[in-house]
Amino acid sequence: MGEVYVITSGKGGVGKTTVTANLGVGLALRGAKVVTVDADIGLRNLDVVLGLENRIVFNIVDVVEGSCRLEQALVRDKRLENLFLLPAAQTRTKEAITSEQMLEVCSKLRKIFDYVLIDSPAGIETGFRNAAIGADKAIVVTTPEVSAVRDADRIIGLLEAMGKGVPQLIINRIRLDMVEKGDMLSVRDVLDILAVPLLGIIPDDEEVIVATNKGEPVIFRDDSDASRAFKNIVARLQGEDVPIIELSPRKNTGFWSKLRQLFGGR
Amino acid sequence: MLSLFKLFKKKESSSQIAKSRLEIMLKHDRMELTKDDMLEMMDRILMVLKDYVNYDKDRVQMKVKRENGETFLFISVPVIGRPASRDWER
Ligand SMILES: Nc1ncnc2c1ncn2[C@@H]1O[C@H](COP(=O)(O)OP(=O)(O)OP(=O)(O)O)[C@@H](O)[C@H]1O
Ligand SMILES: [Mg+2]
Repeated sequence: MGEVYVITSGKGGVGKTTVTANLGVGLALRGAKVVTVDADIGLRNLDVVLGLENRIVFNIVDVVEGSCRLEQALVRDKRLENLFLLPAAQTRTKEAITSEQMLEVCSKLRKIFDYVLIDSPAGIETGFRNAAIGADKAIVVTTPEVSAVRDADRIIGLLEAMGKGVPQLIINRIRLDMVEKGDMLSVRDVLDILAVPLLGIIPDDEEVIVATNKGEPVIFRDDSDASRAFKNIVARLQGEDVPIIELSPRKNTGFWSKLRQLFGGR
Repeated sequence: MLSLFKLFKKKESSSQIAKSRLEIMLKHDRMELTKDDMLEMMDRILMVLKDYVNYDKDRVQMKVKRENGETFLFISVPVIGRPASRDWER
């Protein structure tokens, strides 16, 4: 039986889709059978970030309406044969799926896959609730900004009220130069405030945008800081004890070596 | 004198400002009671009160107010008398 994760945030644009795509690829690279589910009905994005937009025939609404079988709607990744996408509908609204239907889709998917990663829409309404309802565990994504952290706190409360337990946190788009100058909340600040376990941190990295332009998740680019960050998170998801601060030496200007300096290392 | 004081006072960084704003904001957000919580709490309070006083239940009011970084709960219950008898007083 596979594990179902929802990736959510409250505030929009903080990196849910980017995280879902990269964790999906990362888990698949390690040999797991993975499906990513785009639950952002009406504003589908995950297909674009994964570079699979041209391969979509059916979508999740077609599945729940019985227009096709679940297997027919699954899009296989063009690079990894054990990675799939269940696309959202682009021309429908969140109300096109009920929570019962979402539960059923999740229970079918977990029989086929090791990991089911659900990309939640922003907000705290139907779309979020449907995305979360079938999940065993939640990952909350935030950036180190006041409004994003506030919304993350709200979502954490809602997830706990839904019986999803304490979610794990990913802090995205960290800029160490700004943290150093005291112009960005640090990892410690955010953790002090939200008081949930940290799954990982991801630097603000231009490579993420380049990767999205090409439809090739950044985790494929071995050389980038963001790629290393995502690989660490994937390892943690699979139970490996990877420290949050990466200690292997690298060029001095990189994110990780700066991070080490910040934490007082050499 | 004031300007000298300013000169020596270390300027608060914008991340420190962000953190303290968030702490205050979240304290309030987390305290927010849902409508159902409020109604349930009210019912339970009134249940206790009715053993001690008679009140006009149509004019009972409850309000949550925020002042200077603190949250206050105000409940006003118009008392119109004492219950006729109370068992333990006999
Ligand atoms: N670590 C990062 N470094 C640089 N850019 C990033 C990073 N993470 C995300 N982005 C960029 O931020 C934008 C928003 O990301 P994304 O679409 O993943 O957010 P989202 O939370 O899914 O948004 P929505 O709420 O609209 O679904 C994208 O343009 C993405 O490329
Ligand atoms: Mg998205």
